[in-house]
Amino acid sequence: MLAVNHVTKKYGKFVALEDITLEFTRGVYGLLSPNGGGKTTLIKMLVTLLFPTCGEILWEGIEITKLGEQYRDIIGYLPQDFGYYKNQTPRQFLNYLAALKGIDRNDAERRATEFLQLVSLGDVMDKKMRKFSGGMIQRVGIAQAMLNDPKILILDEPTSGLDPKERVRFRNLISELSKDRIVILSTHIVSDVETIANRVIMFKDHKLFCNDSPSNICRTLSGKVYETWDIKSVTQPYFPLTQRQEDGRTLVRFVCETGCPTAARQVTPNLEDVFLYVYRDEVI
Amino acid sequence: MLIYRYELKKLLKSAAVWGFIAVCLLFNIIIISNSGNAYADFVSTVAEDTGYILDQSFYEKLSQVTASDKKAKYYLEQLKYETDGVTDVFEGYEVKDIADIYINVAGLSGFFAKTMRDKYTALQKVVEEKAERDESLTLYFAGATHHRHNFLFGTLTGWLFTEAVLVSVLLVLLSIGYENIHGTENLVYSTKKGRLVLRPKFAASVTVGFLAYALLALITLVVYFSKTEYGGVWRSSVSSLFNYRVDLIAGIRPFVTWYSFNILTYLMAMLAMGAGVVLCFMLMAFSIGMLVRNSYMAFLVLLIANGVNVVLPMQVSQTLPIGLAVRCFSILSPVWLWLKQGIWFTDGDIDIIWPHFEMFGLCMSLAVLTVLCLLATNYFRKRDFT
Repeated sequence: MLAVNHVTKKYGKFVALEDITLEFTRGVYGLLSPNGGGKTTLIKMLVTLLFPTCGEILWEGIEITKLGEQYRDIIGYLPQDFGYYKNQTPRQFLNYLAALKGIDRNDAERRATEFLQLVSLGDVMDKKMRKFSGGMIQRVGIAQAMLNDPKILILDEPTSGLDPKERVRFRNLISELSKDRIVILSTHIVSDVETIANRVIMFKDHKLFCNDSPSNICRTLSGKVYETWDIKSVTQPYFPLTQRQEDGRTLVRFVCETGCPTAARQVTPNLEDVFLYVYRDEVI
Repeated sequence: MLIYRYELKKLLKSAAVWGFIAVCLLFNIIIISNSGNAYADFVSTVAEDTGYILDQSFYEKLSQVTASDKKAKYYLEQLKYETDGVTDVFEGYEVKDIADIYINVAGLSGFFAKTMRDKYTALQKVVEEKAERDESLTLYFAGATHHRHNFLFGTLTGWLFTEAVLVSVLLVLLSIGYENIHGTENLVYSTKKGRLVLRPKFAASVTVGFLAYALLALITLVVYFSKTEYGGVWRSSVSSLFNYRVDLIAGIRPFVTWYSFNILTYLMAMLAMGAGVVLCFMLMAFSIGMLVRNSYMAFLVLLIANGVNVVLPMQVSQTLPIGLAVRCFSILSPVWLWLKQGIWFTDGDIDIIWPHFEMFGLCMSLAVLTVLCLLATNYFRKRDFT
């Protein structure tokens, strides 16, 4: 089990995360917050790139900084801004990272090939990455994260740069991988989390806002989300979520805390509704 | 070992490093091509027949040398004139006066004056031993000695060390900053090896740094020695009576080294010392590279730090013991060792109170920089990668 105990991270006077307590066991955890919400800070602490100002992070009851190499050996990490050596091929790059991960050279060669094929880069694994698209680079990143068969797979904004088809394939891959490991993925793309995460962790004002299953989180807005073609007729205070054009008319989806407006139809809330509502700037 | 090889490959594939080495070599070849001295070549050729020791045999053989053309005849006459009636410059040579002059001009007192005086007391014994061995009675390049000695051991090795220092510093900073440049810091430092990857990185950059130094030295010296004639004088003492130092404070004086060096052993000693200075700068670059994330900024910081090291001793008041201490100890730093490269293995000049200052400075610098590296490594291991 990976445990985050009362962790705070400060940069001078700026508090990036405050008193975060979390526990991770097998499954997919989605970290959800707008940009700058503290997701990457938490992730960087989990991969020992940052150190908590106070609090501790434990793996099987031992502080991860004390475990050092032993801990990093069981993590796979895809950073948000995934850098790579443009003049190398994916195979060369993965072989280098395999050496850093302490994987035997022959084993590394086999695993690099296997994972590059898994992310559909088998036919370009010996081509220089200079001309690769963003999606291809992201797939190289996913392959390298899996290289050491990690017990904890940490993916920071893994779907950015992927096209819809690749995104679906990625979700399926993550679902498959999460059977026997902890997968922590951060994103601000709500649909990614909604489909694959067992639990969603949301931060607000640099503090832990919620840590629950997507359905339970959606339930917090149960009976408060509505849709209407005539938003002007809604007299109660409301918060608009989304709007859609159809046949020259506008369908508005909104949250209303004070009972059911007559001109609107109640709908089942989804995670995006919660996201937009939780991180709203102000109510109209 | 595998990571070391990968890091080595990264550096060896750097076009910028190869380009810089090529430019340095081109520059060296240009200065070598302008360094010719026909008389020195003539002396060296003659020495193949006469030998380099100025004894009876030398004069007998010199008298039998014949000149083939007008120019050679002129050079032969000049050589005979220069070597005629020469005496051992170390016989009765007193170095004590140099200490007094330096102490007065530099305003040294207390410990610093005593150290300076002790140095010249020790040097006096060396001078007497040299006199006993008739060490100065060797030909070197006769009247062309000063020019040729200064070119090889001042200008050429000076540039060689400068280039080696620059290229090795760039290699260390390139190696440490490689992940920052390519945006792979987060990826690399979160792997199992993590921040300990700096060890193979440093080892690889030191290896390539020394290889670059060896390559620069090898090509430069091969070009130089193929263009100049050293055949008969290789074993001439560098403390030959024809060699001298121009000291603005103590005047023109013999070139006295602590040990007995001939041209070959002096060159070897200089190259070895140069390697030591290169290592010092690599350690310095490593320390700074771990504190400053951006390689270009780290290089700038390194330049500024060394600039301050050069300027500071000149700015601090020499009337106070602290001022003298700053001046006397800063001489032991890598940048000053590099600046004083032309007088390595000698008694030094007014700035130098220490005997064997280059060895002392090298050991001190290596010790201090090793500690700095360990501290910087410790800082790096706890540094946040934001």
